Amino acid sequence: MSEDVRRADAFNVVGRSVTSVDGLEKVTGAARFTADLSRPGMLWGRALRSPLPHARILRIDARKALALRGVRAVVTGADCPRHTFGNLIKDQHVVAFDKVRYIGDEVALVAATDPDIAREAVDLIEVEYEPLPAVFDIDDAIREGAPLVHEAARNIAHQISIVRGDIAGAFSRCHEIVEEDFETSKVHQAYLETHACLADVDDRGRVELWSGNQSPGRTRFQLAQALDIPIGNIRVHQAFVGGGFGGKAYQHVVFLSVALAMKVRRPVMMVFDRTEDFACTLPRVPMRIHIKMGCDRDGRLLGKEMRIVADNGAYSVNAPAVVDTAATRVDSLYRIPALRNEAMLVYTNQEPTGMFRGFGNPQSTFAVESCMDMLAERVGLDPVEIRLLNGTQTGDVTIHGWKIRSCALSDCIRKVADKIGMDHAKGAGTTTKADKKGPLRGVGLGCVIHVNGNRSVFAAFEGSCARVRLDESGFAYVSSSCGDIGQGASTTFAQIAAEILGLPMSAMRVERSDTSITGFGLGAFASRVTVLAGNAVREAAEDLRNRIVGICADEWGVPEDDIRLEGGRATASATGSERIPAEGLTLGDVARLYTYAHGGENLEGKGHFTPDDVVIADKKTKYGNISGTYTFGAQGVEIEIDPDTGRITCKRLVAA
Amino acid sequence: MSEGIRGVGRADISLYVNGNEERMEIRTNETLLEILRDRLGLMGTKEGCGAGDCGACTVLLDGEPVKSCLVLAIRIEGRNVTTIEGLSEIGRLHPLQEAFLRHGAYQCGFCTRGMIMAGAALLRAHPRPSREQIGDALVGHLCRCTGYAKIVEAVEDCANSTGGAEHE
Repeated sequence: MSEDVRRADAFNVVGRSVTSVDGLEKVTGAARFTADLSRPGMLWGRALRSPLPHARILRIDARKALALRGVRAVVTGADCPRHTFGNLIKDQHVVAFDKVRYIGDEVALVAATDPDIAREAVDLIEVEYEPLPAVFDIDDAIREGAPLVHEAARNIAHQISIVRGDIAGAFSRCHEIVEEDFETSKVHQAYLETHACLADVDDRGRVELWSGNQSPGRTRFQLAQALDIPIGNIRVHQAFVGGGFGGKAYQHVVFLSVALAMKVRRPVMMVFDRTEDFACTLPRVPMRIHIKMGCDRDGRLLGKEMRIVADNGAYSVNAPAVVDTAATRVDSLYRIPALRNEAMLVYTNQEPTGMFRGFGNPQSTFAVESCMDMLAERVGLDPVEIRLLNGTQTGDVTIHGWKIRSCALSDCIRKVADKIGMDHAKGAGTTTKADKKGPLRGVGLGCVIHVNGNRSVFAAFEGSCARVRLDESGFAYVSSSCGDIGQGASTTFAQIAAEILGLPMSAMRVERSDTSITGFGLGAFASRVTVLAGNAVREAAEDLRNRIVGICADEWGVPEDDIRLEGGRATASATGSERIPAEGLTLGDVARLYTYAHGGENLEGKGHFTPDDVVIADKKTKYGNISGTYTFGAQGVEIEIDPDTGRITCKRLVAA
Repeated sequence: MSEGIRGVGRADISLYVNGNEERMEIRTNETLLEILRDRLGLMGTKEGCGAGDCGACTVLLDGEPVKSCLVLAIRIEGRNVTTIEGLSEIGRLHPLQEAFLRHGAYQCGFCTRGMIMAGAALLRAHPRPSREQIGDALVGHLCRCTGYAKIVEAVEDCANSTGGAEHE
């Protein structure tokens, strides 16, 4: 974005309340989610899941299942590549190979002509297990002599240690120190649409699949690795996504349905039921956080020490990166001169955990924000004052090297405090007993920092690409490499392009992601889409705009800066002169001129966006500016607590 | 299809779906949700949980909202089912669908049809519902994206903008 940030009222479409481009499909039922799709000859897949948390697989006998009418194939670990794969640590198989490591681990897969037959067939598969001792708790898992989840010396999937500044000296100078333990739980994303995938394989071995995936580009990458498929043979379509919240960045169902489709050479639909979705996808990484924070007499933070132990579950898909984030992100919320953070990610025989809104950030933010309130009380400040005193400001380079180019944290805190009734002028008493029998009432606030994309996620690049195509009827088609996952990105893209092209929203079409058409996109996660993909769409629309203007200028013999695009038309100041039609030309007219003169080619603009001044954070120290912009925010709540039952009711919530 | 299913009988049924008589042979364990989606291709009705908890599969049975994943198809012989596909006429949306569009009362859209069916039934029974009545009508409907506020506003606005007129 240029230096002159435009005011919202300077825009015609951006910042206005518009009807979303896919709203009609959503209110009529026409929007097609994965489970709504079908292909001729489609079979239904289902997984046999381990009833044991840890066991060796001695024998699998699928004869009875295969004898059932309607069953077309059974896939076991023996049908899949022997090698392990993984996003960060190669510790996964598509189907359990020698061992099962949690209750729900896939032991075998069935494809049948009907979902009920598949369900019955799964029950007919006989598996002989040798049960092994299991570990369920992170403390037990790191004890000497604990049963090992994987073939490694210890159950430690990942460790990180970061020290900055003179931490011992910092604590020796503190006037107040709080030291506390916090624990966060394994909450599930619980999107309304469970994981599903429709996979097809043709006679040349080309794989085509449809799923509600957050990262079609990366899924293609992982699938190639997991099942030894040449990446050029994989085409991923993004169906409508029924909520993801991080939980659909990785979808094991894709690997399962493709493995079945490769075996039967027919399309296979697999839809997780809600029970297996809860038990076998990747909920939030639960963490135990020991934290020590200290400040001087005035409430200024001097040091922070944090030790995180996190439950990875049986396989570590994204959890190592989640833990790295938990160990660092919150540190740029306030000015902290010295810190020591240690984190350990532990294998257990529990379901694997992974990414869920905030990617580890909420866990440690909970601990830090709780400590901020405690410190405030110790030094006689209110929760608002201590945050305003320590909050990060525009121009700061934070302790992890993050360059804060714009930050309105203090404004957010003040606005929230005012609206929720925590204005410090009115006193810090935040908890009152309304009357003897009534509920307890309290107000509080918390703050957050987050990224907009992260250069460290994918080694090769960070960025996004887009195209905007104008067809001869005057419709503009936006395609982005980072598709809509239900959060409304399609409408955002349409607004950006419509603004630049002077088109009404009714002329905008946004295409769904398809890896064979929309380029290589990293996807929708890390709050990256509007900033990175949105800027790519802006670039593409500007490119198209320049081409339209160039065509009109040539056609009319006027300079390019005399052409205006507005209301779906191109006009020039000399409109109405001999060569220029009185009403100018519609963009459809312009596109037709071009298309007919170029063998049918559509008029198209291309764009890409890569944030500048970002680096891959150092692997060991995690130092470096990982994001082009950072998001800050505050939320305040007013709650009531029933003193008899402990029930908490949120009465009001404000956010800025 | 489904010859392999253990001990499940079959039955002929006939029912009215969106005004059309539908006759079919079904398995006795099939739910209304399954026949709508798998036999009639009416994919607007969604399965979110299969256990009656989320409300995404809500349709109207003789005008009353039901969770179609909990209704055995053989038990509704001869009755009238309305799905989201039957709520709007070609080219004309139900006023509540219009209100959902005006308010942007959806994000991913997966729960939306269930919300609209329940809301439409409410407005038919109570053309000017109170906030409390709206809350009661939507209580069994989960949405993970929106936080519900715009959904409630859309139902409320629909009642106001149609002046409490009959919602059919």
